[in-house]
Amino acid sequence: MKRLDLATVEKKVSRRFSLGPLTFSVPEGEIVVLLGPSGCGKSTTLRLVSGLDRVSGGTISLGGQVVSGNGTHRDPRKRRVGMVFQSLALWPHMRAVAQLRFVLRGKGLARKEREGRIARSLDLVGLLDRKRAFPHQLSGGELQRLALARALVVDPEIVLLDEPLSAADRALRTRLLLEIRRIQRELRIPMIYVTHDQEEALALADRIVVMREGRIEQDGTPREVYEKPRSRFVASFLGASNVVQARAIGNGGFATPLGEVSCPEADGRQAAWLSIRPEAIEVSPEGVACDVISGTYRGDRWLLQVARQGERFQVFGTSPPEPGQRVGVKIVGGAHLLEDDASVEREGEE
Amino acid sequence: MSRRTRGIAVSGGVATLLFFALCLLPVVVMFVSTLFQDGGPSLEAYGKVLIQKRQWDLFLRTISVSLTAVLLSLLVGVPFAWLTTKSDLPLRRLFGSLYFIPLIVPPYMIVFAWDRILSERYPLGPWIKEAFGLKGALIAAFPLTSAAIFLFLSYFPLVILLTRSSLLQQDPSLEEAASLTSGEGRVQRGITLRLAVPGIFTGATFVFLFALSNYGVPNMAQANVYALEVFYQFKTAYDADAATATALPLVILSLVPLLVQRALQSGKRYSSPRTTNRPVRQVPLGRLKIPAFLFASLLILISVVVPLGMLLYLAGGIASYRGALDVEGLGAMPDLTSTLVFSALAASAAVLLGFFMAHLAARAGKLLSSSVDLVSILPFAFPAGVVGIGLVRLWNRPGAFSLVYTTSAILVIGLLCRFSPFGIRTVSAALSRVDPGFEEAARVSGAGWLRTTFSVTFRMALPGLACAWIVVFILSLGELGMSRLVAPPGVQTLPLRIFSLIHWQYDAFVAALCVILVGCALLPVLIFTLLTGRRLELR
Repeated sequence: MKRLDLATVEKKVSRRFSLGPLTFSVPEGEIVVLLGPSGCGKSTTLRLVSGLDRVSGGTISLGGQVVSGNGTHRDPRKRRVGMVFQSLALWPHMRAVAQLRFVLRGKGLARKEREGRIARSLDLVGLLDRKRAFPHQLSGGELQRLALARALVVDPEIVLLDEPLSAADRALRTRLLLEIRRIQRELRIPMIYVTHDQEEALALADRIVVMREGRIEQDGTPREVYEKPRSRFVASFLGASNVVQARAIGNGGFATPLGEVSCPEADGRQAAWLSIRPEAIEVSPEGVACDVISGTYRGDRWLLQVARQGERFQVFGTSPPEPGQRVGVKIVGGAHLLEDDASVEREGEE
Repeated sequence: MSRRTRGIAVSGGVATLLFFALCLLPVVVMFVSTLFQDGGPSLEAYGKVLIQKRQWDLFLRTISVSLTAVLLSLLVGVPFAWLTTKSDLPLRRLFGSLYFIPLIVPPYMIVFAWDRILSERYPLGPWIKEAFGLKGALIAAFPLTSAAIFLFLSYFPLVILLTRSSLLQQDPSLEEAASLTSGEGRVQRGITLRLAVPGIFTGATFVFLFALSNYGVPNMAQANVYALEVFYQFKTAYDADAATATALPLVILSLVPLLVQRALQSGKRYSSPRTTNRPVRQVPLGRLKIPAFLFASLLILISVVVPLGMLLYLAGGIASYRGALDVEGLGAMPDLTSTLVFSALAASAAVLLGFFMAHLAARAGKLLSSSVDLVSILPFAFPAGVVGIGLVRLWNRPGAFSLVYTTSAILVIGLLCRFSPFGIRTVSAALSRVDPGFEEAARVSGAGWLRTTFSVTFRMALPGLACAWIVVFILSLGELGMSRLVAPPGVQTLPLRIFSLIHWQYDAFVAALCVILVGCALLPVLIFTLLTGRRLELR
């Protein structure tokens, strides 16, 4: 059974940055997306799983066997890990087919079997007819697919993708995300996909692990993470969100600068940090008065920035903004309780 | 065409024309004039010389000496470069700083030092002779082998320099990707060293070109090769046409690897720029650590410590240095001054020409850029003797030409002609790292061409320009072959003085002058390293 388990994994990267402890699993057939800002330790986690770096504490198990930690460090080439690097790391002096042949050589495969696997991998990513091309002769999308084929050809225990689409344009990224999803569904190989792009994360993930400063901030399905962010950081990192400090008014109700909102899960608290998504707020003449600051067009509607008593909020509106215009804003949806300590004053936007 | 683009085109065009007139025209004139005899076209000069059987022998001798030097340089240089960049070799930083010293010691000084070490006065020479049953002077007993070995000892750092640079520029993720499935041996052989091929080949090409054109080493080892033959034909037999015809195979031999190297370098199949700040991967040597350390130590001992130690030993106390420079002694002070001035002038001219040419090449279209680039590397193919004869044939004319030919200007032009390609290539590499966006930002902020060029481009490329200046300066300091042919009466350079003193057995003074020359070459390198924290680079 192909699966990956990280148990309290730690890595001292520098004097100022330590990773972990990290605990999460990637079962067979699942894509886990590591999401977080630059420098939060996502790529370091991949390097620990691949064996390129050693853990300082905790264990990493592949298929139930410890490969890192407890005094063990299995060599990367003995882990059967497929990896797509951020730079893709395609060897410029090798043709497409030679890239795959290189990683299979020395694996004790008969020539026929080896060539068969190479052909299947290239076919899987749609590059069979480009197998004689050098990397510099391939398009951006073909390069990404070749890197994926090279990662898959070794029949890996897990595939690690380190921001592979960071250089791709939006259209190509959408197309390749669908392709990665299709291939993963077909092969049922566990995958870890690293990105700082929330759209990529939501489009691809079975589970999202949100990371911040070397630690896991939240681990859950895309829906859980989006709808029930655990902290102010997650709420503001994943999608647009209004993080407000609220005061209890009884019966699960809270008073916020935008009016009253219901949050049963916070019942019993005197004060709480709440996350209210912009789609839970609407522009209405009955709402509290706010000043429009700016707005961005989102196809079917406008995401408006409004201000009230010095605080800024994001709300959806149907008409273009007129800076300085006064509008009424009303909470129509629910709010979600954040675990941050409400006695601590807000430090500003994350 | 905007004012700025016009400024780049005009300045680059003028610089390219000047470069052509000063560095290429002499050789063009030299070959063309040999094609016209008695008022009509004729191949007589070439026919007379090139059909001689001894030409074939000369060709084989030259090739074998140069290729042996290349082969030895590769055998030693590539492992040394790998060990000092990619492994956990002890003291690798120190080795990585010392290996280039032979490049700042003119080759004839290395022969001089070894000739004295192997002489009867010290135990090594007699011991070797006794062990192998040899008689007479050791170096003279094996002229070709000695020439090849000394050329190797002088130029092998070029292979190390360019291989190291290639290895350090590689993206570490290329190796990491391979290490997920392959052992270290395969990773290094299949990825790392394969990607370093252009650097290794460029280093080998430079060794080949330098070995081919060197005059001092074969002269001292008494190995008759083309470089010497050209000199002989011109200076002793007074036959300029025969000298030119003799030089033809030398130029062709030089052009071949140069063009292959250019094709290899311009291909995208070896391009692997770094995309991360992660340090270079270090491969643990394990049981090989001690043998590797001994190998690196031995190389530094033979190429740096022993010859430089011998020069210092021979020079003795301060009296030798004073005697060598003072008017009351040899009076070489004026020679040292003129050598420093000529070298500084040549280096400055090379950097200025290189800056405008490289700027044009960097910002122009592909075709123009490639043409300027090709023109700038052609002088690599002109050995010292060829440059010397070319200069004589172009500038030895009555009228205004004599103002150059009979003065020190001819030496400066000769140095520029010989070494400007190094300057231009290094400047070009520095400019390629200056994002055109910086210039555009200055331009949209209202700065004109002159201000943008000097306040932005020039300033940002300054460390690279300084590096180019030092490279040309060092190479010019030790120049001998061309200077022997063109130095006008009454003008002497320090290498010319040292070379004549060697034959007069003034060992202490010769060694003192050698040490002074090496010190003069080393000083700007040290200042550059201290100020910029960078190492010298060569393109």
